[in-house]
Amino acid sequence: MSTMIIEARGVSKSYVCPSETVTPIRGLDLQVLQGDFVLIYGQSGSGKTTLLNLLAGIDSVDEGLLSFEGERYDRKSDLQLTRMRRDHLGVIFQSFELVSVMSCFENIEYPLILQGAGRTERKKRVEAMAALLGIGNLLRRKPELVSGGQRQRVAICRALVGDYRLILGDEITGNLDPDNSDLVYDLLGAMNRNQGRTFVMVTHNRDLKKYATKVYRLKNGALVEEQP
Amino acid sequence: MKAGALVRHSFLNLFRNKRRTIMILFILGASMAIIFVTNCYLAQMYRGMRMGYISQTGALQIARKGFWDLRREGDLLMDGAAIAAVTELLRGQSEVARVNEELSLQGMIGTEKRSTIVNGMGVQPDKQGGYAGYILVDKGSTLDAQDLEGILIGKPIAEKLGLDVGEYVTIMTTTVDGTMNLVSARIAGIVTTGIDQADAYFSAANLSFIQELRNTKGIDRLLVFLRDEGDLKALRIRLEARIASLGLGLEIKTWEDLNPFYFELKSLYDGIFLFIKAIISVLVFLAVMEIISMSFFERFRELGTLRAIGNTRGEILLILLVEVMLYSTVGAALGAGIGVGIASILNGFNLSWTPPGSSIPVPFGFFIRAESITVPLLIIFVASILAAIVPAIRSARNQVAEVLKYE
Amino acid sequence: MSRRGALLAVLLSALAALGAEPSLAPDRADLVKRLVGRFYEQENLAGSSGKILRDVVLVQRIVTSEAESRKASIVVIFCKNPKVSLVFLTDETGRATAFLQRGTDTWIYRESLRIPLKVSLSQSVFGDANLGDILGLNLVEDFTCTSVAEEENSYIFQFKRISTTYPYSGVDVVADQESGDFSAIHYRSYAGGIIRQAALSDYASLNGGHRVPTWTISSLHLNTARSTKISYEDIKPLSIPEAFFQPNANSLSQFLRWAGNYK
Repeated sequence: MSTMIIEARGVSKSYVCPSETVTPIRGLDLQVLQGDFVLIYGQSGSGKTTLLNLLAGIDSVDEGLLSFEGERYDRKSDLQLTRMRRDHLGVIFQSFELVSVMSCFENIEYPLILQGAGRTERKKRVEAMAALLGIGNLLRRKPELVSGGQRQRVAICRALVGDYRLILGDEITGNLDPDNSDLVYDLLGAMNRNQGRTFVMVTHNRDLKKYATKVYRLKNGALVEEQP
Repeated sequence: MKAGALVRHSFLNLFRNKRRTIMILFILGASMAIIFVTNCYLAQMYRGMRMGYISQTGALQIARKGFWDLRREGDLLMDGAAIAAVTELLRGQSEVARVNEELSLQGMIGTEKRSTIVNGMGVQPDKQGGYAGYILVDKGSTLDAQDLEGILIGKPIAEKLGLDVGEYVTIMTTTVDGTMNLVSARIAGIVTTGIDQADAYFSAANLSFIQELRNTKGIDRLLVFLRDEGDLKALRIRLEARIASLGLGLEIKTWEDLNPFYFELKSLYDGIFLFIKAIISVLVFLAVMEIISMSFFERFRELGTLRAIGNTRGEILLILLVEVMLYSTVGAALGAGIGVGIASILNGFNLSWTPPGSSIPVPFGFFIRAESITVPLLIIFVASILAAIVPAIRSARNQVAEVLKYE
Repeated sequence: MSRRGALLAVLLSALAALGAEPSLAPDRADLVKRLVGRFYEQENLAGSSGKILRDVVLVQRIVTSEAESRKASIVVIFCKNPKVSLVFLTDETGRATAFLQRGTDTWIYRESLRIPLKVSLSQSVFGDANLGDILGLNLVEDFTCTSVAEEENSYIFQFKRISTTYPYSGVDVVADQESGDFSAIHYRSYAGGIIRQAALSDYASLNGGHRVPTWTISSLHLNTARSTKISYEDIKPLSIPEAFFQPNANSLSQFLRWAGNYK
């Protein structure tokens, strides 16, 4: 029996705008078990990023509950949520969000620093992960000196290098060409199958369904399960 | 997050925008240099004043109790027995370099054509310090212990009475028993004390000459000169106890008691320059706040990302504040270096200037010492941290989800 | 004179009157002239109206009253033409000092000195007495009377100085209405306050029909416990060499030697 990593029950989130109130997530339920590769797709503006932010604890829910490994976290403090992300959740952002003054190596090893890993350990893991993603030769360069696709792979590397229980990704291949997109998802799929790593990926590209073990469509604020 | 990693992150941020970094370092460095050089100048000036006063008045003076009381009745002179006892006592103190005797003179000095008021002293010319420490001979020479009728007068007196070196002048005063006495003296030297107003009344002669004129063997006071500045308070306490035990009825004043003007002037200058330092602090504060706010604002998304990855608010705050502290450290170091350079170069020119009310130029120099760095360093640090604290707190407290929305 | 001219004359007189001192009534002016003139002829011999006195020697004794009283003797020589005075002071220690007054200039000298020293009439001579006290006030020539008041049995004459020789702006003279003798003189500073006072008493007759009082002088600022008494012993004419009246060490030295014998 797989462990429940994340569970969302009756989660709703609204945003108050000057002219109207927008509710991108409405009574949403989701269960992510260990070893799942969950793909959530939907149109632009359907609330995919909002859902990801809620699951990562970056944003707060208006209704419903969120729990991580059975422990509710939707009411936790900012500090507790930050620690949770640091230790258990890897996040890959749509627009890379690399630190410009650090080299690619330093960007990738950053989560390991936060987790307190030693220098030798960090070097080993960063170089291994970078080699897997084909960016081993770029590590000494600053982000501004590599291409958009290479930056995206650095960001993915950063999320994968830590020993996270769950990795969340928001349009992680949005800036990659189809070949590289497939390469990245192949890798994630292999990690999921071989290492049992758990992923929740959000995308607008339904062609990536083939890599997932569970597929959901986000429509009208709720998830509708589909066949992978 | 480990301290080393945090500091390294802050350090890397210094290279984010080179132009901005140069601007901040320039502001901090220039402020540091200005305040440091000013402190060195003040230190030099105070040191010169202190040394000047001590060379005139001695480190300590000893006189009859009540001598310095403005409302005192009579002359209150120290007699031979008191002088001998105190001199013997002082000989036993290792800090004491020498002891000079002095007797004052208030009276008239003049010729058959004109006369004027004089405020002089009887001194021991064969001893260093005292009057010799602060007069400059304009014409003639200083006093000679063998020349009993020689007298020094201030330059304005010589001009007013039309006197030259070698000519005779009459001095009239009241003896200690209240009768009038006159004597002829020969101008040995025309001098200046460095202060115009003092020169107009200044005169000095051999102690024995003045004692003869005033019909006394006594003196006003003993001037005590020390080998080095040392612990004056402790010496004073020790001497007071010994003098009290000898029942001599004497009191002691230090150069600080006798020269309150030093502290008044020091307070004035300290106040003026404190005002200037305050203005510089405010300018540093405003400039750093402006630049740092911009720098933090530009990093909103990045900081949000770091929070999303796992940096706590406190760590973000520390990263930003350590960055500012690094700016301060580098800026202060640069400023101190530039300040030392400027002060050293100016010292090499041996500049001088004549202060208002002075008749001789004084050196215009800088006393370069480590203590002069402390205050400007503190100003730079405090102003920078204060300037950065609100922007840093705001940046650290931003809602991650909101921040990541910014393009 | 035209109307305009007359108006101008009246205006100018009024302006002049504003700046002018109030003049004494004729009877008062006479009174002053009579009493002051008499006092001056009898007591103060530095020139009196009508009589020319030359080379008159006035011998005085001067005593201070304090816890310990001190004494000195003074010989004063007046010469009206030129207006000079010589004063020879011998104090208790036997120290002799000469004072020379020529016109508005005054010098002090002693044998041990190489040159005399220029001083003023306020130069202290002995105790509370200054040179001006010894030489006397020339109320006739150097002062002008500005008012006469009456109080009990006395006249009070207010004098304002004309000559700059004196260190006072003016004096108040108190005279007995019956005898006409002066009983007190108050000396005013330039600020207007009274700084010294002299009591005149014990009028006595001396050689040559001179009637002189004893002066008791006290300062109202310095050493108020002390007063100084000047009394007269002898007055006689004497022929004094012109050379003595020169402000140089040589002539004053000669004077001192001469006066030293005349005690």
